[in-house]
Amino acid sequence: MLEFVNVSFAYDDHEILRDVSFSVAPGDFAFLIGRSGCGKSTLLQHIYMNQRPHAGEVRFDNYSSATVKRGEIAKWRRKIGVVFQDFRLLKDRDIYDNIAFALEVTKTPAREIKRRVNEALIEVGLNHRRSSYPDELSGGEQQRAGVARAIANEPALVVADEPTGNLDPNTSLEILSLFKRINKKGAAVLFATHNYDLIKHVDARIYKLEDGKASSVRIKKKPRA
Amino acid sequence: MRFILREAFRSIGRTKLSFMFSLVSMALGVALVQLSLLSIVFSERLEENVKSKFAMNLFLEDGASAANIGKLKADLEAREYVKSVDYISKAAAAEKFIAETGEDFRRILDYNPLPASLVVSLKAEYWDDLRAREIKTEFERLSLVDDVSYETDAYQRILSFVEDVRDSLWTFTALLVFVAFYIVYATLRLIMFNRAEEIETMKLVGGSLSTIKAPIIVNGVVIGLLANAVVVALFYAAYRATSGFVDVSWIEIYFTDYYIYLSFVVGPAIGLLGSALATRKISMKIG
Repeated sequence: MLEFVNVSFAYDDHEILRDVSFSVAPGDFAFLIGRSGCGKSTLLQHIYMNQRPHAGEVRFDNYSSATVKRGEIAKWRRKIGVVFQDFRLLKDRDIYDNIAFALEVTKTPAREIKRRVNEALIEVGLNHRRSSYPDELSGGEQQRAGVARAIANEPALVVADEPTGNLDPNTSLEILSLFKRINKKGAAVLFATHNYDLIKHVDARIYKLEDGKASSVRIKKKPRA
Repeated sequence: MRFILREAFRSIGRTKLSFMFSLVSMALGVALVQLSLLSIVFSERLEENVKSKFAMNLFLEDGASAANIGKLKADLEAREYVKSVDYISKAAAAEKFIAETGEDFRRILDYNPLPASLVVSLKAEYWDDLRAREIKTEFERLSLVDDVSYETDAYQRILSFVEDVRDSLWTFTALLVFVAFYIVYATLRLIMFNRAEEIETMKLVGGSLSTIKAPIIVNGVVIGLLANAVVVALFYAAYRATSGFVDVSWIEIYFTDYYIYLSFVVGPAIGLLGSALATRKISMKIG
């Protein structure tokens, strides 16, 4: 479903990605780990076509970065849900409207919007806070709202860029289990983090980004309490 | 569409002060543009009026028979640049001379020295100084025609003045359109700055460029429409207020369909173009 084929990318002369190859199959749960500033966000930006590789190719669904036209990028993005560390919710509208906004932009019919927003709110456990504004929510709740917005479009792949970066350890684990739930329902998840402790809680494929290269690694899983 | 309109009005609500400022500035710009357009229409009418009064006097030879004069008149009337031909007989010319000067030459002279003439009015669209001279030469070659004269200098001065004024007005109008255009552009850039988060989210969730730009373009058109409505209302109020004590009915003849349609298009067109330019740089790039 998602495949990086010898992808290279540089900002000016600074090489960020060097010959990166990896893939995420439908229904996979994968971690992308690496130090802060190693290029995880840049790599994720290639997934939602905010950056194009200088060499190599990103393939997603039936699209390829080598051939995708500018007008097709919107359609490409509709198949991907993106979650950020800083939530990126719109502060002037409540949680329901934040999620609905993502669907209205893609011209989803009104009845369908209502159904999908309700389902997403229930999925992330925020149905009772649907009328609250982002500033009235805790960090964990805001991130749940961010996840709800990402899954409302029923994407094939959910990409999370340090989604627990602003959260305490317990809330981080809650968010992680939320992603696991979403993954079990069918969406592939690529979870970028520099929190190595977090990845020990989930049995998942792990890719490490180091010196611009991605490699598959194994980390000893934490025994369940 | 509902989404686009809702987002457009949400932006207006969020930038009330700058929106009001741009509405007032834009209304002022549109008012001045409309006044310029009105003045241009006025000058065109003035030019037409001056040209419609333009005529050449063809003085006829004394011995010309009525039948030959009739033939000449018919020949002139058939020409495409001729609007009308009036025959002034020797007697009528004498009456006219006496009426205009108050001097009755018949008391001194026992004959009428004034020639009969054909007054040829030209169609306005065929009138210009060079063409008039060509036509004069054509007329001078006609048999029965002794002499041809027309008041070239006075007409020419009036027309060249009107043309100069109109050229200046076009320049002034273009400048005003540019100013109004820039006001819309600057306001929409501010609205886009205030809506940066929404725009980024739209891009992220797969909104097409047209969906992202549409609310901003609607903003521009709304500013233009409101500014236009304000100006039309003010103009109408001014017309009604002045018509009570000053005769302004003459102005109605200048409200041609051309002017009315154009004036209603000015505001929205500036709004549309300003917003199209303001949104030109929006791309699918996030951040």
